[in-house]
Amino acid sequence: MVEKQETAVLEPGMRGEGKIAQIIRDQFKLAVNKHMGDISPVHLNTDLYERHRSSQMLIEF
Amino acid sequence: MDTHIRGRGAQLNTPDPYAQLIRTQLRPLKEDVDDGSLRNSQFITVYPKTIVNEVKSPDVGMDFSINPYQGCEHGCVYCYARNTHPYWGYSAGLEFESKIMVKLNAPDLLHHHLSNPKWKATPIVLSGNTDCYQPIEAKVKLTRSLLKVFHDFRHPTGIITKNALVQRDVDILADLSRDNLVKVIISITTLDDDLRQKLEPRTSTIKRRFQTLAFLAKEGIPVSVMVAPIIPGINDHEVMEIVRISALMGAQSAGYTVVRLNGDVETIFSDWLSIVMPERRDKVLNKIASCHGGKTGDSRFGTRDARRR
Repeated sequence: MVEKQETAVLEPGMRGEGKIAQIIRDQFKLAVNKHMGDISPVHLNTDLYERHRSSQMLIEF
Repeated sequence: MDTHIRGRGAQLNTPDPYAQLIRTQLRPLKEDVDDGSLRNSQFITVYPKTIVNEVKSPDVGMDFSINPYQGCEHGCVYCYARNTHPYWGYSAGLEFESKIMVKLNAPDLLHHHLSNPKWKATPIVLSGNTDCYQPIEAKVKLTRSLLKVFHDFRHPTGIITKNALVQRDVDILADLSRDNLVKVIISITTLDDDLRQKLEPRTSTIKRRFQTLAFLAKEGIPVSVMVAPIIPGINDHEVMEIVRISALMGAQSAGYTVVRLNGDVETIFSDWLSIVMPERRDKVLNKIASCHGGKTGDSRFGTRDARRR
């Protein structure tokens, strides 16, 4: 049981127990690979906020 | 046999051990009873001290969240957020979807939070718990005001919703997306609208949700689909088709969670199954349990089956 929990933390996408969870996981992977395989996910920009805040602080100063 | 209460997910109220204590404290606050268009829901104005929550669970894929409303009129019968309602003095059952706290000072609190020089930019997700585009948002516009604050600070944000009302804010979302500051996740549970009406009664129809995906994608806003929750024995056979249609509509990625029935949600969901699909009740509960080590609920961090791509 302990080993299962540690694995879960290391592999967040592969959690779940039992045959049904495995079938759902396989179905989902198949669906995504078939229909969304060539699209890369979005990473949001965190730099603009820092730059905006720095400029605002300069104005206030 | 009990009859199904149309327009509501939960069919009963579970006991709330804190009700007496907390409702006494809430009484002085202004309470608005809606005039009928929202059918007997009650909206209670509250003024919390903070609005940005740190999300400690590694299961949900976000570090910080904002919930402008406590309680949710969508009434999704499986919703894990139901268990937070007793802390406000209300039941996790029918009261979760009919006694809604409106955090009127949320935009001011966010402005204050983002003005703090110690804050390091990290995406803050709207709707970590309850839906930020639930029906009352059409009137109150708290989520729209929060988006304006994110826009003013050029701060990244994300949205998860089951409501097409998100389309209303396309002007702000499009502007944020030009600087890669926003993504929207539309949660789609099933392709069967009859099931949707019983399972999550006041959400947008499935057709409207797919149309929302297409609309936002066409406007250049990054959109994803969350197939959530998957309830084995009820909607697990629909995963492939939901992902396929979502991709066609412009979804760039997908995620899912398998339902867990923690706390009062187990009673509420089991009762709902007994009324809506009694012949499948035991089979569905057994299948859910088999995904969580033999228990229908599993509140351990890191053990919920969740996947994102």
